[in-house]
Amino acid sequence: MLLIVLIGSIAGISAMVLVNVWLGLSEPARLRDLDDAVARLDTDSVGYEAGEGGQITPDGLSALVPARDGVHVGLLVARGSDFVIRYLGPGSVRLAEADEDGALMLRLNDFAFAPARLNFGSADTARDWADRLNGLRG
Amino acid sequence: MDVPAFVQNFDPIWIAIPLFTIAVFAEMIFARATGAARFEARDSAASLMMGLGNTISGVLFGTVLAIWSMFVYEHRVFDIGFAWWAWIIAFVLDDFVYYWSHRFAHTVRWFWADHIVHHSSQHYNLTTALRQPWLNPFTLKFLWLGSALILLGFHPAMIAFVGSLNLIYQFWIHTEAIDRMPRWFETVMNTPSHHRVHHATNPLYLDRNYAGVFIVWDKMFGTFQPELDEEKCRYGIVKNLGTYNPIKICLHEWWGIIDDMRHARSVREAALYLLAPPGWSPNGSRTTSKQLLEKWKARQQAEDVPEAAE
Repeated sequence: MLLIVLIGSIAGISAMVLVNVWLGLSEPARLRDLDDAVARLDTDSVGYEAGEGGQITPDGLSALVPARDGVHVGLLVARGSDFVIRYLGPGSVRLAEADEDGALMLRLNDFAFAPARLNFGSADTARDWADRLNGLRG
Repeated sequence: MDVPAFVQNFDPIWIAIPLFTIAVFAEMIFARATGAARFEARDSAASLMMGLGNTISGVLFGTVLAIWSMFVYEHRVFDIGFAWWAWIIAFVLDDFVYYWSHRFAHTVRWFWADHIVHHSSQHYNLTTALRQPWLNPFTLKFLWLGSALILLGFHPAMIAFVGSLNLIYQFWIHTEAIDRMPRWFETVMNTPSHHRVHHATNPLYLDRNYAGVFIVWDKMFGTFQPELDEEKCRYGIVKNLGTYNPIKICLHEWWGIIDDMRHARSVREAALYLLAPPGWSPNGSRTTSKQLLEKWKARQQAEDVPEAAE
């Protein structure tokens, strides 16, 4: 009996997810501009003070915005139709690596944050961010 | 005491599951037609997997809970039995206990580690209702809150039955497809509008509307917040998950507690990491719901002052 329920449940879940995809219900999250990124960082933490040098990736899927304190960096990454935000400080970063395609691969010391790929489209920009974020490694 | 046969052989949740499925399909079609509800396939898949895991966990832990419940019932204070009025009182009292259990689930990190799973979606649709934890018995709430009515004299089968009805009621309120119910209903009952507030991360809405079925508990105990048109709900948790992995969804806050306690500098600090409200930290580097609300109110006042001067 339990096996039948289990198989039925898996079939039901699969059907619901497939219909979800088929209906095209999800719109991918995109940042409009840097102000949009700063506004989202501010909304989440109530009073995020952005400093100079913030950048969004050309695809609008992610952004890095240094805080005015010169230490922390606000990170936004699109996950599906929403953004996930992290305020990176000393010890937050496990590894930041730039590749030759201009993307930054970012791993955090955060159990619930899957590795992110921020595509800056410029190897120099990606390298600059990797250097900066590796300064927050712990 | 003779337990009525329909209680022994019938769990309303099993009957409700096909109806839940039909309702999810209907909400998706409604979302497609009107845009008044939001879905994301991977988020829905994660929520549904959490629901399946919760059911499996219920089967695995069920025997332990049943043995404990019968042990408590043997030491009951009153013999309440199965009279018709006992069902009504059990349903209302169970909802009262649910309110407090739910309130503790938001204000004690140990219990939040379990309940955070249900809040971890940034979407608010019927699949979110099914996003349930797998490790509920680890909170040990069944030893006290879960046993209170049984110790009083309500049969465990009756409590299990009305508890299932309570959970079934709560399914339909996880939707953006319904704006407001009739005014009398909004006054007494928990509704989609009231529960949207509960799932929102807007500082004004954090830790509000704990009710299961009757919203009157929140009004009685000062935790009610109506949904405001000018404050649109943003769903999820203060630090949203960056993963759809069900194992990580299930374990992330438990892992966070263990990691914090491991690095605690004293026994007191370790205890507070477990028992203080979520967001507590010894050096104030994190933010609790109350602190977020204070920051938000301070900013609102600062913004209002220049406006009033103009």
